[in-house]
Amino acid sequence: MHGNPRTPVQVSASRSGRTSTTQEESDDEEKPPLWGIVLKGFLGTQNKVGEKVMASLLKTTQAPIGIYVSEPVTALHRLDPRVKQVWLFALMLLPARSTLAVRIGLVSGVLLLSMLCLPRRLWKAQLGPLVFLCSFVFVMTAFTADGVALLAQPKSLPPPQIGLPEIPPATGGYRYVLFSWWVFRVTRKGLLLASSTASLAFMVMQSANLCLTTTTPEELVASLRWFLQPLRLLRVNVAEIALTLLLSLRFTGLVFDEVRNLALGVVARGVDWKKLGFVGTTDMMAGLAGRLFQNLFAQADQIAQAMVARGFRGRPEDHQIYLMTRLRLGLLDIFAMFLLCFVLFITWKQRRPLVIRL
Amino acid sequence: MQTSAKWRTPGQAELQEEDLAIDVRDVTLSLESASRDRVQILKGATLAVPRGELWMLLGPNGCGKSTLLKALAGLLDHSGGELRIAQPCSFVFQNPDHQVVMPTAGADVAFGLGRMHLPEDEVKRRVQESLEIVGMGDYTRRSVQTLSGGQKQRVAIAGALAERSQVLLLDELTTFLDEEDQIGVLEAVKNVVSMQSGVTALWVTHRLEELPFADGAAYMHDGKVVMHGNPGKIERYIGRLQKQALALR
Repeated sequence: MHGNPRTPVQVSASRSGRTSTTQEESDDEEKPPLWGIVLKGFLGTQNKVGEKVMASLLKTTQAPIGIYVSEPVTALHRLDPRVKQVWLFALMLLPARSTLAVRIGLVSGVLLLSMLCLPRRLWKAQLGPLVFLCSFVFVMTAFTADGVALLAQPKSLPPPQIGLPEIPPATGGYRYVLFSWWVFRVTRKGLLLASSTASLAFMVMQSANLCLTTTTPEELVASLRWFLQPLRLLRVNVAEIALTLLLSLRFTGLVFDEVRNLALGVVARGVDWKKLGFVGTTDMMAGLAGRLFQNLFAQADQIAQAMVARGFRGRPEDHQIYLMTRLRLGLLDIFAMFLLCFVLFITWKQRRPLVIRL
Repeated sequence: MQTSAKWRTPGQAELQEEDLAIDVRDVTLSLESASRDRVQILKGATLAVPRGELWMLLGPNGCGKSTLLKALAGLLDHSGGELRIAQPCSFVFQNPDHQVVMPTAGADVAFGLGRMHLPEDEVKRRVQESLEIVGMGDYTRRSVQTLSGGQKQRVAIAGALAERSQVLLLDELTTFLDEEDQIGVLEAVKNVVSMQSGVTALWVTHRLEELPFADGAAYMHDGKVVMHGNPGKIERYIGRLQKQALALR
């Protein structure tokens, strides 16, 4: 007897991997494998993965990451782009070789700067997901880095068996294992690794984002072109690198727009994701991805045509790119460089030695 | 090009060649279709646009308006007839996202000047002037990503002005724009033509409500210009066509 298709079917798995249901099934009906049922449970008829993907795409593209924000004009906007790039480079390297205190200081500094320099709507939309991601990385690394017991045994015998006294407990309350409950264990090594990974992830993403939102792409390119000048002696085509970077920065915004337009198109059509099921959802997502690339290639083609119509003939060295920016160091830049030297000095003084120490 | 050629448009005095910014005579042009067949788009199009005027080019979909504009810009090669246009000329695309190349407004306006190798101060002056003419003087450092469609179109027009273009070829600029942006772009173009001596604009459009902004207009059908003259005349002609189409239903 066939069960009513609308009635939920309880599924259980036996040790042999076979599945059984609480309802009677006819012999001629082929039972699906366990993995199929599990997958169906997650992504099948009950799924709303498509809806969630579309919602998150719309949310993400609402506040595009790395797009220049011209107002309000802050001190960061006024800084020379070369100084900003040196700071950016330092902030990406420092967390790896600093102590926990310095890492917390650096992360707090970037967090505070983001909140001060960006409009509230932007920093809330950008920092929220980033803080969640970094917290997740921190927790997972802290609990798993040193939490799994070693399968191999140490080769040397325990100290009492070779006639040596037991290692005395550390003075000053030193403990390698900081927290232990059931299978969860946080050690000093795990905590350091977690703080290093999470702070690096945060610094790489947020400091780059902060630099991009307070510096026009043209300023960034002008600065990069200045740093790359020595390569001209080696006959490196710096003009081509600069133009490529400019076009890719222009294209970043177009990608966000295109993704947003496609997602809006799908949401506006009111797709019934439940009815589509796993196969239908996958099929639609693949179709959308294809459409996205098709649209982006068409956009690239049109922009290339516009460049030709505006006199570009394919040789960046023959077509001067006016970046409308003048690189000039002011008092603010000198102060920023002194501050960087101070941060570097503190980090060097507090640098993490080879012996693990908090 | 025949040197003795003269033009007379209804209500206008006879025009000499030097009075014309655009001079198109019996131009034919074929394009390859998706099935690799040659399709003739322009079948002897003839048009004359006097200097310093804003002209609109109207007609049903597929009649060859945009193709004629691209041929004028040199983006397509015509196979027959004669075609002359005052230089330098600039083409502004239908979709503003396709026109704007650089990430910020000021740098985009300056992009077209790259081939001229001008001093930096001259470039800055031209960019500022051009942006002010289209009403966007304060937008030099604005990311194009944050501009509306109409503002992007105006940046594109400013780019053409910075190059000291004599002719602006404008391809359905208002298609993607709302009413406010549409008026903004129309006024910017009208402003350019009236303020910059000798600048001519040829505007391809579908919208009859834009006709009152024009100094002259032409109507295309099946690859030919079938009517040209003052905007009122073209509007009446289109009105008659629409009545005939309704009567046939």
